[in-house]
Amino acid sequence: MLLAAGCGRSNSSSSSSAGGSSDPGITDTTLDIGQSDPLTGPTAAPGSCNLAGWQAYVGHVNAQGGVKFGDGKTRKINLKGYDDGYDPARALANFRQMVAENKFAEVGSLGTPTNLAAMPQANAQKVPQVMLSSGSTAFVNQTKNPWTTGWPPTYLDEGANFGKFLAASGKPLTVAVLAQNDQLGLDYTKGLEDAVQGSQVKVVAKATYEPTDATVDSQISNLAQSKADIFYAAISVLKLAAASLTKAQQLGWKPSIFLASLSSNPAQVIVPGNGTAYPAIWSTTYIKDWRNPDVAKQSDVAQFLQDMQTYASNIAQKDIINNCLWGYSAAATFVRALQAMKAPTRQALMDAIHTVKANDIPLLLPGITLDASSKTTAPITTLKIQQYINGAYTTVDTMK
Amino acid sequence: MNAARALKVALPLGVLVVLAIVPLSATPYTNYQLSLVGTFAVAILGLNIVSGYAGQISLGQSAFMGVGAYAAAFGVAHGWPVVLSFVVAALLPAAIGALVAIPAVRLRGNALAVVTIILPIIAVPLAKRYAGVTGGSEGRSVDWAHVPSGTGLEDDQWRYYLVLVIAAVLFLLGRNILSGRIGRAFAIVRTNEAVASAMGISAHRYKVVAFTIAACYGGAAGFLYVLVVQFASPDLLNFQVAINMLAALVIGGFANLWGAVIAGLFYVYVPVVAGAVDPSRTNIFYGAVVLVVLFIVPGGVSGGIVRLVRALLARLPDRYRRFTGVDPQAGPASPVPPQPDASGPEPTPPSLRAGAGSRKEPQ
Repeated sequence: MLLAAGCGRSNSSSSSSAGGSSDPGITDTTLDIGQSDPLTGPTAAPGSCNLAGWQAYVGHVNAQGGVKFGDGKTRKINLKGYDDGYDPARALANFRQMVAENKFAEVGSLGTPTNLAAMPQANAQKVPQVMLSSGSTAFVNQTKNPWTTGWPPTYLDEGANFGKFLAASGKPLTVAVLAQNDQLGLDYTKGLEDAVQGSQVKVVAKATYEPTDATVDSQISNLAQSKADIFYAAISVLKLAAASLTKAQQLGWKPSIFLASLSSNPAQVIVPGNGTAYPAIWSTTYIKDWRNPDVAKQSDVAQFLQDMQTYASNIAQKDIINNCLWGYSAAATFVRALQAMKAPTRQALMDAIHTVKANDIPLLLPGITLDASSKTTAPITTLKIQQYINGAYTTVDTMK
Repeated sequence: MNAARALKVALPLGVLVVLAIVPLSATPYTNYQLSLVGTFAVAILGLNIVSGYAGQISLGQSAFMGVGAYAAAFGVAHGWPVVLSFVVAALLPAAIGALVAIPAVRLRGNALAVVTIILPIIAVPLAKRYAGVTGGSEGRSVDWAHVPSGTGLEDDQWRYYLVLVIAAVLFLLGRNILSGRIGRAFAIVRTNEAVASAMGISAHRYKVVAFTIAACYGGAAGFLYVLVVQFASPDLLNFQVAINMLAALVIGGFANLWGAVIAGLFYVYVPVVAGAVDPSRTNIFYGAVVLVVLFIVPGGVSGGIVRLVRALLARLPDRYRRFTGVDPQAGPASPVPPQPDASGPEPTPPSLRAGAGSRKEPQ
């Protein structure tokens, strides 16, 4: 009886912008946002680096006084990181915690299964879940999930770009695929298979692994029996990518290697995996290679390295992997959207994101443009093939 | 004795009233967390029955919880009646638990523990493989258990009350099982199997019973999990979840009903607190808390509270005598405190009572 007597909360928990002039998490001087990443566990390295990249850019912007929003007010950004350990249930709990702590939006969170878990809640509660660091095609469907946006090219795009590269060589090539046993792996595999269809390139062996696996030795042993010319490593766990390279050469299988952009970092994968044993190592990229001394002198890269040192000192320079750069660049994209945001509401943020078109986002390779207006593709769709030669990546147009 | 009896009735009632009022003013996130506490308390109560009361270490509780969660999610997705989903979610894991237990309980101690690890280890790849049923590695999202219109409640409050009622019923049921014939048999099986068989109690049979009850509670908790989280994924089946539940139970206290509740609180809130301290060091923080609690109160928090209450009461000799009928000056009657949840209505032989009260952690 007590319960039935209208004891429900008067301030409805179903947050929507209806009626209010501003949504939770935004004042005239501040914007509160949250990010959920795997900061512990096997995927901690990419997760920590992603958060560090965001913190570096946000720190840089705040130090300059904040962001001048489209409504004329200048606000500082408070970004809070949450750990999900790559566990979907914890990512969902983190999302709920963000809403409870009045975060305006979830931004840039890394991971496919984790973001998928939070996506239904985000869209039901109309809370932006944007610039996600995942190439899953699930996050680029704005008709179905209007409050969710991705940022990097999808894994489908990546697989397709590499497939076209192989097919264009005109050579009869065999490919062995090792893919993560989830949508990420499926997208990588489908992109490749669709692109090589009808060409002389054949996928001759396939295997899958779990992101929590301690080793991929048995999968590599099976793939090695195919003696394929190309080993297509659609792996997101850095240590497993390195271990797969080590294992293949132990077995005497020395194919050319394709590394997914998620695990193409030389220091964490190619060097420990003794990549020089292989005839060629390729990957795809859209981000500048800061390890190249000439590139490191460019103003945006130099600024990035300095910001990392100042605002994200928990990641030492030697530990910087691509996720740091992607995080930094995605944060810059987010700030562009804020600059176009006409009202302090979540809907206004979503509207603003779809207006962002730029070819001068920091750290993106020359020629890569970002266009967030499409509701069916990621903001970035173009990729370049790069080859690892003499300790550094060089972009290549054709197979040699 | 009247005062003691009144306290015994008033205390749980008072707790219930507080639990009933809290969600009305708490935030949805707090209600979500408290509902999760109730959910994990049920799962850990199951673990407590098999590990704490019957003395058989199980590392497979997450698998039973996961099966229950998938059964519930599958039922919701296919429009089953809620009661049917609940029954399947509770009975399917119980059947699996019984099937595994029948051969497994022939082993003892660590060997049995190792066999139980197999469950989560097989369950995770199976769940990913049969994506048609489970939703694969992305898991299965459901949207259900919305509050009926006209109650004036929000969804989070409604789900909280459902969890509270179901958990309270399961705890009451557990209390009755453990304070009756089965509970006494568990105690004697745990303490000494030879004595058990001399008394005509089949250790083998009661271990199977303990495993089955534990699996059933795990499955029911899985149902509650889907009710609260609206999501089931292979990560719930994970072996690490089972280990964390066991660690939480050690913290909460073996062979004590409140131990499971404290364990639930610990399981849900420690990672949140750890995340607030430093999100990239949650595991270290969790481990440190486990160690600290074990150093300070080796019997778990619930055992520590009982000891603390006893020590305080001992300072008030008159009241203590009235409450317990034991003269503290004459020394404690038994090495362990009287246990409200294990003392049934039937008279119990002193030897069994001592066994049921032992808080020693089984090997």
